[in-house]
Amino acid sequence: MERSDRVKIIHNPADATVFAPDLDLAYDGHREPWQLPNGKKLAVSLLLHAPRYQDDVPSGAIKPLAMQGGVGRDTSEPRHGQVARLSQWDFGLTVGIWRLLDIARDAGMPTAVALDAEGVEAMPRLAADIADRADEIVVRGRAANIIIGTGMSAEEEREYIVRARHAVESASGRACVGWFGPERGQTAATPALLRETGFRWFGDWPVDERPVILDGAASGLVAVSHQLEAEDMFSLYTRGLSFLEYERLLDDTVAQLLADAELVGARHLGLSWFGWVLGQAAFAGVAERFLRRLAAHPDILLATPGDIALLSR
Amino acid sequence: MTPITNNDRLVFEPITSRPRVTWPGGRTVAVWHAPNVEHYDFVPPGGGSPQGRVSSPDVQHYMHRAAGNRTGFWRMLRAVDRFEIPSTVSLSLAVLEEMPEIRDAMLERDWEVMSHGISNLRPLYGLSEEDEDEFFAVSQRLARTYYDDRPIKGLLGPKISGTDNTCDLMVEHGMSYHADWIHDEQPRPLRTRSGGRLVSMPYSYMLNDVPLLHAKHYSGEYFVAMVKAQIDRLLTDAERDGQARVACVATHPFVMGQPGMQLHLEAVFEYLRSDDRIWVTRAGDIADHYLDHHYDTQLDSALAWNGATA
Repeated sequence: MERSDRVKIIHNPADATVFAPDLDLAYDGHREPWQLPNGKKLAVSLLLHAPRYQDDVPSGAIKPLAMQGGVGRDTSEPRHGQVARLSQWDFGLTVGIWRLLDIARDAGMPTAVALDAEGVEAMPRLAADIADRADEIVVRGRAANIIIGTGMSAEEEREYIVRARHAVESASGRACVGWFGPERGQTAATPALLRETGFRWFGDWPVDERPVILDGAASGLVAVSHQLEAEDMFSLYTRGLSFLEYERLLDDTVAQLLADAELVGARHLGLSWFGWVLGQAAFAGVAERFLRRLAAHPDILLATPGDIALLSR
Repeated sequence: MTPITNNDRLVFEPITSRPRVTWPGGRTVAVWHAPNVEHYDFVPPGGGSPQGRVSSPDVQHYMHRAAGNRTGFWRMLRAVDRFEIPSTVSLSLAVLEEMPEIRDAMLERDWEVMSHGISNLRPLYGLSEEDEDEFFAVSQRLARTYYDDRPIKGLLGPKISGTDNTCDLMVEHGMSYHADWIHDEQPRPLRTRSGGRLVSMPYSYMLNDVPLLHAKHYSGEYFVAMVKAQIDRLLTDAERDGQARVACVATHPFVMGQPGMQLHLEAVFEYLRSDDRIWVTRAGDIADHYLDHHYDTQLDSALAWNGATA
């Protein structure tokens, strides 16, 4: 019996949204295997985040309820007058992103860099300098701590997206078709709005190990997953792994994905790294060693997230 | 006058395009050891609980930190002396007046006093400009009176706190560096309302025993691994791009002064003394050198990068 034909036993509350809109229910072993060119087993992409943190957030803007960075393990918003989080995130722009770009270049790893509106408007040359070195420019909303969230009308959200895209494209001189929202903030309408405003892919959903083409109102938009455990901020700050454990986790992840590709089809690993995290001197060696190992592996395809979206077809 | 916002204090230019910063003697990485020697009020102003664990007085909290000053500090001194590590004490200034034994031990070793407030349970948040001005006046009076008439050059805000006026008042009280900003591997100019020269001094919450060991529960071995990974990378990058850099090793007697941590502290110091490219020095010396040799060119370069003029 097909799923839709069954008499449902569960009666969901009327105000619950049980499934994410526009996302099919598809499972490994029950779908056509994904294939990569030249028989590659694993595609790895690298998205570097270069956001600006706003110490003063305009009234009415939506802020995250918790964020990493600053003193100790506190994730609540710092009291006004403490500049630790502001300046730690800013480190990503002054030093960290450049260190990671150098490391990626030396390893032969293509890079996408995510920029936000506040950053490029305050420092227009930042976008131009990064555009000179990045293979793809991605739009990262308005600011690290000015996010999309419930409470925004569709028109407000559309304006947020369009304004951010316009700012990043104007400052970088590059056409942008990829989106990664700050703090992965979304409403139920976000994918459809991204599709409507011309984006081809977005990276917020850590939902799969291959690109996913959305249905419904967002039809054609591609979710390029950036797995949470592979993200530096999540592993090193939220989970609190040591950098040694994080490096081992990355290696173990690649080994398992290569093995799984034989069983369930080609895999994709979306690396999501922050200038203020893995760009720190103490952590940068992880990026350097790991990317070199990736580049030396014959079964791994190195690509940008935009390339991954194209390969989803 | 509208205060300068915290975002606008920062004078941005990526490290990749700046004029080169160099350190004396051709050394490439300056490292400052910042022992945080703190006093915590038994009952803080307002009576609040320091950690929200029990109502004030929280004797577990108070005594743990007091033990740091009674025993841990002196144990750490033995490691400092063994490896002859210049130090910049991030000091609760009450220590200068109330704990002469500690004060004199620091002065004998020529430690630089960096203000860390009066007590670490008296943050600067919300102070009126008048009250904060008085705070800085009292701070300098304490140093002049009790510490060989040496004025204080730097501040790490108590509980890492400040106000919209902190940077401006610091320069008006003769100070030159502010360690609350961790946005760079070099000192950087900070905008002030008077145009007075103030720089950020790279402090660390990564090479710092409280966030690393006390809050996040990593081991002493990991602290050493972090120090080595950080400074090794800075040395490598400085050779690659010619930009001298700064690292800070921040300690606290109630954490790194614990008996089980001494071997790790010694391992850190031994590492710092193992490479002649490392300039083990005090924060004020780094700030002075930067202000004398690099501040003007760095500021001009940043303004040009941003399409502005001085």
